[in-house]
Amino acid sequence: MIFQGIPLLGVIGLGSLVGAVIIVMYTIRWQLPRRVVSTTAFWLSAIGRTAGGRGLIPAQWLSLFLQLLIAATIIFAAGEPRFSCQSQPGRTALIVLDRSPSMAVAERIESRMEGAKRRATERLARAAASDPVGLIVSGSRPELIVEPTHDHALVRRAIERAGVRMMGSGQLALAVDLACRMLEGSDGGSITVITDGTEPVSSCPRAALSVLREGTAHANVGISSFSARMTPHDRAHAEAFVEVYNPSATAVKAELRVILDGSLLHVISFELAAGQKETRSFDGIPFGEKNGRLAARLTGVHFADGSKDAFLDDDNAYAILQRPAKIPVDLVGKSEALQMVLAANARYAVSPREAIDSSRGALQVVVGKMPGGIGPGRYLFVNPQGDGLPFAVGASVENPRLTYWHDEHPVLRNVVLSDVVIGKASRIKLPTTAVDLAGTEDSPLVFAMAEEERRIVGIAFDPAASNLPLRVGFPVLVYNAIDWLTEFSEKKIHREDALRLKTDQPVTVTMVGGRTSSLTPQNGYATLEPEQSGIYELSTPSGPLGVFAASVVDAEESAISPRDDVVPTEQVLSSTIGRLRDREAFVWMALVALALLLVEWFSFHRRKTV
Amino acid sequence: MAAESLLEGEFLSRLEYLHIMTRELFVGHSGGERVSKKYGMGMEFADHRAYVAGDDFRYVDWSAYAQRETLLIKLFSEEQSSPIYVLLDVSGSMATGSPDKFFYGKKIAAALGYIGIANLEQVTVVPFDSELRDRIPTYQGRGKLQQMLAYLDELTPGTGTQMGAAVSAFARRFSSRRGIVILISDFLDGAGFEEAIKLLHYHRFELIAIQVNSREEMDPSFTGDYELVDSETQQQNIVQMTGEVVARYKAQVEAHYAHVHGLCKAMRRVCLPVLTDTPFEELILDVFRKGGLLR
Repeated sequence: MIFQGIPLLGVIGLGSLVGAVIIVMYTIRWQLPRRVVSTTAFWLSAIGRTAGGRGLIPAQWLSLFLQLLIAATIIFAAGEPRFSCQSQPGRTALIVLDRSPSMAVAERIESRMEGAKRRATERLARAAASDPVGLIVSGSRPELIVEPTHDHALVRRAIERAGVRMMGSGQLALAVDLACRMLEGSDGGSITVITDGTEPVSSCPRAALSVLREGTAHANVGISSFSARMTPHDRAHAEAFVEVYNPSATAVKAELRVILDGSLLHVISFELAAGQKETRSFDGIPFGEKNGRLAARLTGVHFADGSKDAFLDDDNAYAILQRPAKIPVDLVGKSEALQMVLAANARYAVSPREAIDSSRGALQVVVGKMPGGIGPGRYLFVNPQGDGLPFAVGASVENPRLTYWHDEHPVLRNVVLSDVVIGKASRIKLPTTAVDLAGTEDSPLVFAMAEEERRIVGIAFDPAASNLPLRVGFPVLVYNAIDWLTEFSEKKIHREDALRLKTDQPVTVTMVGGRTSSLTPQNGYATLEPEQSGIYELSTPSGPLGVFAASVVDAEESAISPRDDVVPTEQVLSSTIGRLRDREAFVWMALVALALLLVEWFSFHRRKTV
Repeated sequence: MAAESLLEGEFLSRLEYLHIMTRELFVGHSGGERVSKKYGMGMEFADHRAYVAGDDFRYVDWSAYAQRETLLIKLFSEEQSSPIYVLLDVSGSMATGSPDKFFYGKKIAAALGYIGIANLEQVTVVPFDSELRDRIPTYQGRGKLQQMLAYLDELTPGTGTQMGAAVSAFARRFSSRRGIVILISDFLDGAGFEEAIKLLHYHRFELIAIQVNSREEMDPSFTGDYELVDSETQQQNIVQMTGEVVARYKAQVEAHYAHVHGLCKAMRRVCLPVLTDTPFEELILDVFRKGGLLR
């Protein structure tokens, strides 16, 4: 038997406390008013006794016993016990909760996130006691919060803790892929996706998939892209790129303001038709030695039909202007194409190496056969061969044809692979932690892996054996890969995920509006979930850690109206929803307590008055 | 001061015009105002008898002789004082109720005793609980009135009631001088009151039973849970005063006092029920007179 609500010790402690209180109150209650009568003989005869006493009469003993029993039953029920007889083999149910920024939109009564959490809790309540239930949240990347478990209280608490992550898109497709992989090998199962329906959901043939939508159509305009960098040939200035998107069904007028460290730099008025995007670039932004805080802000929003801007978080975007440091790159192996691409970017300090040495913290670009084992660090594997790899390399595949690629992933952003021809590639078998980014029907060709101490990007073919180096996408792919890998630095901030810092010291976070909070490290890491867009300053007792900008800047998230084409198939769950046989035992206990209360009332308190 | 608390001065003067009614005539001490069975030198004509030698010629009824030509002597009833015994229950059960039954009983005893003394009767106050009290004073003559009131005022409640044993002791002591017995009690005796009434009847005392009760005793109005304490045994009992229980209690009490009244009626004795919330003057001047106890 397990307790899903109050734990066992809590039930025992609370029961003892309440029992003691009831007995004390009963004792006090029976300090009755004394009344001296001429004789008690008539009273004793009237109540059917021949001799009296000061102790409790049977009805009072019964009342006390029933009250203790009622209290015990209620406390036991509050513990939400689940008996072993209830734990029949069940079917795994996975709840995928969208925590993308658009879930922060306020509906008529509650926010989408609150509604989604409520529906997730309802879904959990309908799960049979024998069903293991797990929770995956999806916000910029999928995270398995609770592995499938019979302890539904654990899942409920995780649902209650879930909040919106005000960065990136939901990546629901990746979350459903993860859920689907988790159900691999199981005898069926179900995936319940709770989302606002603003981005597509992938299918899962091995599970019953249902998509619960939370949210209604609203007008919105937002900044869908915002980036800033040092002007390549002018180190004293920076340039910024802004994209504004009006996903609404009506035209909108607005002003775009660009602000640096609180000073207004530019104001642009524009009008966007329904569904239109507007891009603007700004140059000549002063760029000093210190980091600058650049913000883009939409103001004066007026929709033609009088609608209100429903999602305000995407009206602001933030960026930190900072001088890029050179990234040390160790090139292990030979590839002319790679050497040229790396040498062409002044951000990289490339050093040819014979063996892998990640102890210096340099990014390792390994071409061809592995010279040895690998440890923690960041790796770009090109045409990986040999042993010691964290994935399996099989036989070669001749002329593999690229059939898919996920260009929403940072590694493949702005990379077009449609006309790439590959002569030969290795057949790769990835672990479950890897993300397949591009490949053929039976083997991945580009993939990414993120683990605790290690991040890997793999290209499963030799660029020289393809026409990829002749394409514009090749240097973009390499630079993207290095950017993605180096963002996983232990000292830098990973922008697309929650802020995760390796530190043993408490981190002080100065948030939007000057509010401060503290992050307590767990297992050597401190994690910040930005629930509001803005600039976050981080520091430890040892000194400042850096500045972190959280923004929505995602066109899919700005399109807050639910879409009709996000659900691949309409699959209805029936196997695990609403099975009455496994209704929670505490419901019956509560009914027993109610029945006992009635008995107690009838047996003792239901007395006529004179 | 103590005496005044029992009977007020103005009320005392009104008592002087009252007499205690009896059905029987008793042999007592001469000098009283009650007509006795004994023929003597009283003022009230009683009978004739034939003249015998030696009779006083002053008592010859010459009018009768003129009509019948027979000498008849007029006989007169002798006015004597009759003993009045006020048996006052001073047990613990009398010290309950509101107003207090004990104090109310003492007031009745004082009033009836005063009436007796005012009528030149011999009044004996007999307090009892489980037995007779040691001191049983007799008062005769108006000069003893204050002493009687003071004695009554000093009485304190005792313990349990054993009316049978107490009356038995009383009968042994006073059966040679029968008289009026005014028994003031609540008749709550665990051992039974029947023996007492039967003993008094057997010894041919003129019994006047005054049953004193408080209103809450006869018709309790309190409900809820109480710890009841027996005034005599000090036994404590937790009782839930439900409507049903109170109804059964009242039935028990009514049956008990119906038994008291039935026994008195069977022995042709007077029994007057009294509630302590009755105004005292109304009790003496109205209730007792209508009940045939006083005139």
